[in-house]
Amino acid sequence: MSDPAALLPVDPLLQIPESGEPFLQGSVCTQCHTVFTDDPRTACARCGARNTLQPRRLAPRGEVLAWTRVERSFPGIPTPYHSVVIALDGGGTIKTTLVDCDDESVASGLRVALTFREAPWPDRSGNRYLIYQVVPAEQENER
Amino acid sequence: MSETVWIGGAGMLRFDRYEQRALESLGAEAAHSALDDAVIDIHAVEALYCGNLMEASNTPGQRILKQIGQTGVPVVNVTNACASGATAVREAWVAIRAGLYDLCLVVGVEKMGTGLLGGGEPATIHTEGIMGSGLMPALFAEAGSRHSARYGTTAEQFARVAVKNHQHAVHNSLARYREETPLEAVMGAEMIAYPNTKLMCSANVDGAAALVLMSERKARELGRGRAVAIRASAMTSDPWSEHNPVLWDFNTCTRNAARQAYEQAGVGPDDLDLVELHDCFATAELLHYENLGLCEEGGAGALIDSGATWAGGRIPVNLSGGLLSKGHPIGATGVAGLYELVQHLRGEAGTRQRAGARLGLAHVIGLGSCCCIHILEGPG
Repeated sequence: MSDPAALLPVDPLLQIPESGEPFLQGSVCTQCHTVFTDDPRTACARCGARNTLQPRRLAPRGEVLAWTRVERSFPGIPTPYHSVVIALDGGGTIKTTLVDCDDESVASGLRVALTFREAPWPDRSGNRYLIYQVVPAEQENER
Repeated sequence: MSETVWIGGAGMLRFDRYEQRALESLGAEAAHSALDDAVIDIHAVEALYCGNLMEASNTPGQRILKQIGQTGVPVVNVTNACASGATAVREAWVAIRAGLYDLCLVVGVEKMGTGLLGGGEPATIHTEGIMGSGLMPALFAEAGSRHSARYGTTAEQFARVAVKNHQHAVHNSLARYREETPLEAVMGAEMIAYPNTKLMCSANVDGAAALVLMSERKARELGRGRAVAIRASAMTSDPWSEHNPVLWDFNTCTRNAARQAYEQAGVGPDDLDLVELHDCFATAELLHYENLGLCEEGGAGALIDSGATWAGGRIPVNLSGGLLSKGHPIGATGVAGLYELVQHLRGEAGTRQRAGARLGLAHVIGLGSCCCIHILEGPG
């Protein structure tokens, strides 16, 4: 993969520092403490407060909330792939593809960790992007 | 001003591919069918509400009116994702209740393209497949996986929805797909997004359905004989919930709308004789059993297994064959669900007839989201 810092982030959540690991950053409402993953956002969707949203770094791990295995997709998209909705530890919900995982292990509750990879295709102008996916988390002590 | 609104006429085309026909031709045919059923003509119509998604920016209602009688009455084009048709009905209901009109025509109509629904133009790159799926079959499969994780609902139980609805459609000449599909056929069909196989997905077809709505005063004037009463009209959008909309929550908005509708009508789920609900994908139907209070939390799998929601059961669901059999021409679907209820409540549903049907509930979901629920009561 190219150096991540040479790639563009696929969406506003993805932060690519000059050095160090990429990470996800959403926002949190300082009034009701709800975490959002759909930046940029105008106001809090839960309590309606304005000017209360602050950046919130999201955890690099979480668990599968919902999943499916897509076997028929748009023409040209390689299948199958596992689409998963992930509840990140400490707040924030994202959707991405679960990779490096055998079919039998895909289940709600599976612990996962974020992984950052180069997108297999560029945009129409030829720009290349960094994307985030998830892999099953190693069995290790949680802190 | 808060008197009952009546459905005095209902019409519907057979859902199918109508490649040679324009949208307004389909809508006009459904309109005539509903007007004829109400024994009135276009000059009695005081406003037209047209439910349509894909041509909403191109005055579909006015194009229909130009086909059947340019009377110059108000036309409102209504779009609300897959709830467009039901929203159009509701808007007419609202206007009649407010005293603006005594008689409205509602037409739901759509010409669908081909291929999978889902996804749009990306801001950066297309992410389908590499960052999850935005395809409709996948979204509803994900929702089903939650139910499975919580309650152990099986792929067989989801598949049974398609078996049931396809069997019901054998008796519905207006459905696109009318062949029985045994469980093995449903589960053995091409997998689209697990557990939704091709036979567990509603098809892209074209279609139109129409209703004539009238005030209490108009219904009395024209004779109420076959008119069906709208006992409740409820609509919600999706309130904030923790994972919505990354994981679309069409459950909360349905529960909220159902509660409002039952309260308006002064009835409970046990009083219903039949339900037409939004089975865009087989996984959705089981979730809505619980959302509409047809069974207790987690009981949807057992309910479909028990036969209760099949023809002849305690609470038949989707006797029309549902979206799984009729197809899902988006703007028409919500109106078609009400058309079906009207047939049963008048005792005119032929071999599909739910014996003694007096109360029916129609439910639709538009992702984004909208839930629209109507409860109808027959002339008895």
